[in-house]
Amino acid sequence: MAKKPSERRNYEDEDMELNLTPMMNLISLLIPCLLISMVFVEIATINVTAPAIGSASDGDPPEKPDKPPLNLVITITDKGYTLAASGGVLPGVASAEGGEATGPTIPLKTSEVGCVRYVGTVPPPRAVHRTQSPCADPQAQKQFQVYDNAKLTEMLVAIKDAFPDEQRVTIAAESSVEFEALTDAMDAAREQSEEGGTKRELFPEVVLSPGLT
Amino acid sequence: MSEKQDAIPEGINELPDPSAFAAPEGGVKRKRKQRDLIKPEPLSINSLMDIMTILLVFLIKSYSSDPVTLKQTEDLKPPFSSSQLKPDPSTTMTLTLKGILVDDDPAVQIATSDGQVAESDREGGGFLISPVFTKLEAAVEHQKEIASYNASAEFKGLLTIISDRNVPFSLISQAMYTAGQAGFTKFKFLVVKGG
Repeated sequence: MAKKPSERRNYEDEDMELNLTPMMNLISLLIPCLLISMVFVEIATINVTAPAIGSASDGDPPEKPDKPPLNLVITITDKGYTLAASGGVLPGVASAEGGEATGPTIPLKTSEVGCVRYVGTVPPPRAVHRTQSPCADPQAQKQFQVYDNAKLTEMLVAIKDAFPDEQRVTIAAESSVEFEALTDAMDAAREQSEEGGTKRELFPEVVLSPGLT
Repeated sequence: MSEKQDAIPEGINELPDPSAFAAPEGGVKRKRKQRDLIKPEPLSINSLMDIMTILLVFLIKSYSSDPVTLKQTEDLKPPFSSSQLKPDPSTTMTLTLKGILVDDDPAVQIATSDGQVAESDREGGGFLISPVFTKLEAAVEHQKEIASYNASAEFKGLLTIISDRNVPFSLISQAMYTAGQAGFTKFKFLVVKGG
């Protein structure tokens, strides 16, 4: 377009800046909004098969296996783990705290527990820790009576060595047992961490039993 | 060498005319020119905009990619686990000591401190939690209806259970029994990685 002589002289000054202010407003609002709603915990899942209620069609192959199934059952009570299978119940092991042979296979043990997972609370089974003060400092170590997950893994490794094809474990629990104890037992039963960071799979198929009466 | 070099041009020792330094007659014009020179450059925010745009895209992408989102509150702290399995998109059931939610929609409240649903809300020998059953059944119906129109969105019967770590096993087994009755066959417990 033709310009007036007076405008022609100021031609260089017409280098217009894009007005980014509304855009900046929008972005500076959106970013805090998204940051707040963002979840920084990494989540995972544990696959669980339901206790067989009605739907028998799911899962099991129709042909009969040569060997009878192991039917490994871990029962969680507030006294510890009890292991049972088709052959019978594993008797209790004598523990340093004087666990009786009539008690659970793996009784609770007293040990130093890192508080990082239990800030403001106590490790399961919580019923036995009612009188104790909860963890406050995440860096602290406190004495608690806890489920002996290492021992459970150790015994399950021995069972896995004897029955290498077995994948399935049934977990039953007393009605008052916390969900956290359940997932801890599933972790202990799923895999064994070996030296060098490798993991050996033990019993990844978890079946939850409807519970003890 | 030559006379030319020695020769001093005429008038070099004379002082210049002081009037040449005086303000020109159009004083206003000159002031405006000075003001134009001092005028500050507009703040260059182009690089800032680049950063913000990249951040925005990253945030929106990570926001939409999670199939199941978890908002931890005082009442809902899932346990830690060493599991590495990724969550799948599915119906969710959230269990806390205060109540049960189906797909983030409150289904039943728990008034007692022991985490048990009131007897009046339970049927089938105390195992079936009726308000939860109604909601789960509606979710199954909804998914099956979608599956009837869209073959790729097949109904898998998968339910993700988000549970607080203090929830007792009795409530979990009741909730799972209820979900089983509503048509769910596979379950995933949501846990927090680590530990």
